[in-house]
Amino acid sequence: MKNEQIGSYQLMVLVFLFTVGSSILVVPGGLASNVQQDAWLPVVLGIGLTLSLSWFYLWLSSLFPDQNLIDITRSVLGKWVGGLISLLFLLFLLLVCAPTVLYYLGDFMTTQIMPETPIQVFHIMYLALLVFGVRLGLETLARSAELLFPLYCLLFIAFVLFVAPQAEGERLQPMFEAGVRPILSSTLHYISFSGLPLILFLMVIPACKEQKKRLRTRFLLGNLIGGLFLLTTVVLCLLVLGVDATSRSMYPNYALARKINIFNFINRIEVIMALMWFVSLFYKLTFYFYAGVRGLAQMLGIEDYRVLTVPVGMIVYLLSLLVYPNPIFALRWDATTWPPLVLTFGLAIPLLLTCVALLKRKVGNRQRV
Amino acid sequence: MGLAVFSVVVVGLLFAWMEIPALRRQKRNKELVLYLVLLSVATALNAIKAFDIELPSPLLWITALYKPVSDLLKGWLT
Repeated sequence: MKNEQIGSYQLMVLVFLFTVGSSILVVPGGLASNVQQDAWLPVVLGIGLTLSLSWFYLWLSSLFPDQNLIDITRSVLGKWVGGLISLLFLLFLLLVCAPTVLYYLGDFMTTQIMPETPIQVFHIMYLALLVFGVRLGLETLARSAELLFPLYCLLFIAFVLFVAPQAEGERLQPMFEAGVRPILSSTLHYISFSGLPLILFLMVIPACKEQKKRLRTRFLLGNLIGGLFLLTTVVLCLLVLGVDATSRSMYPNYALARKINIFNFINRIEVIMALMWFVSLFYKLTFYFYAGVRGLAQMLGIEDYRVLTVPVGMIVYLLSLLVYPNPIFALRWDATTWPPLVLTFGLAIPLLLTCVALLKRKVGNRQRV
Repeated sequence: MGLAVFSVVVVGLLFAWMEIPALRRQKRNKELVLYLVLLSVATALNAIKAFDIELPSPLLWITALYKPVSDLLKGWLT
């Protein structure tokens, strides 16, 4: 368990898939309804912010080599306070993040693709796959991500090429109409899905034993590629569907894939395109789950986290059916409560850790002198 | 409804049957106890859900807890 190792290229792929994650389905609609045709602007800002956030996480991780988030929290804040904060973090991952992503998958399947199948079927199938994957371990997950990455890129390029003929430039005009505040709130919306959750990679980075510098560049590169994919998606949604259709539909990306029509011959291939979203949602969900279960095992003092996967998976299944009582609640939650919640765990707690750690070092140095 | 509850319990027992012998053989008692506790909690909660009893969403509590902060943020950004 302790010896799990992944390469920096694999880490890059994982970061990429995690950044794209569920954002690719959720972000375009939210942004378009907030800032209309300027929706690409918050994405550009968000990519910059996400990169600086990742840099911060990498820096925090390099202060404590070979320690994951739980170790860091406990060694910096002590057994009790650190333990409490770690526990809150794990509960956040397992009881909020994982079920909500799973809900998005089930909701997507039942509303868009297979409306007559009960939502539970998708949740169970997906969770079974997830538990299976997590039990096989981080290395297996990383290798499978490495295998799927070229397929993902291929699908994405095909998607862009097929949709591009229908793009109309004037749909982006007039530019820069949105005010500063809507743009800031949309940027927050973007980083709350693609940037701040990256904090959980502090649980994964210690498994990557390569040179620190290469790890850092690859991590940031994965992040950047993910951001560019999202930017492309948002721009395409605006160019092809226009602001109204993008902001009105729940999954604008899927509506976009439906538009593909090459010479009246290649059409209705949206389900093939949906493969992309299954892959990226799967890795997002898996890493929430993996980091949560792994940390929980560490907190409880168990060597093998695999024992916990099945019961925790059952709880996640139950919660995925409960978390959002209705779609309106989901939209309101994503817009109002989710950003401050993820800001707490993705920004406030790491900042607190950094401050305390630096203070401690300073005091320690002075005592030594 | 009865069938749903029954199947939840069967699934729980199935998982127990799959995992417990190995844990006992390897004498990992702490993990065994934790596994049993967590599995019973998970099965019980799922059974309650299968009984059509409304369980509250944990997100409702978080929403209530974060209301001051989210209102503040909303005030700044809109």
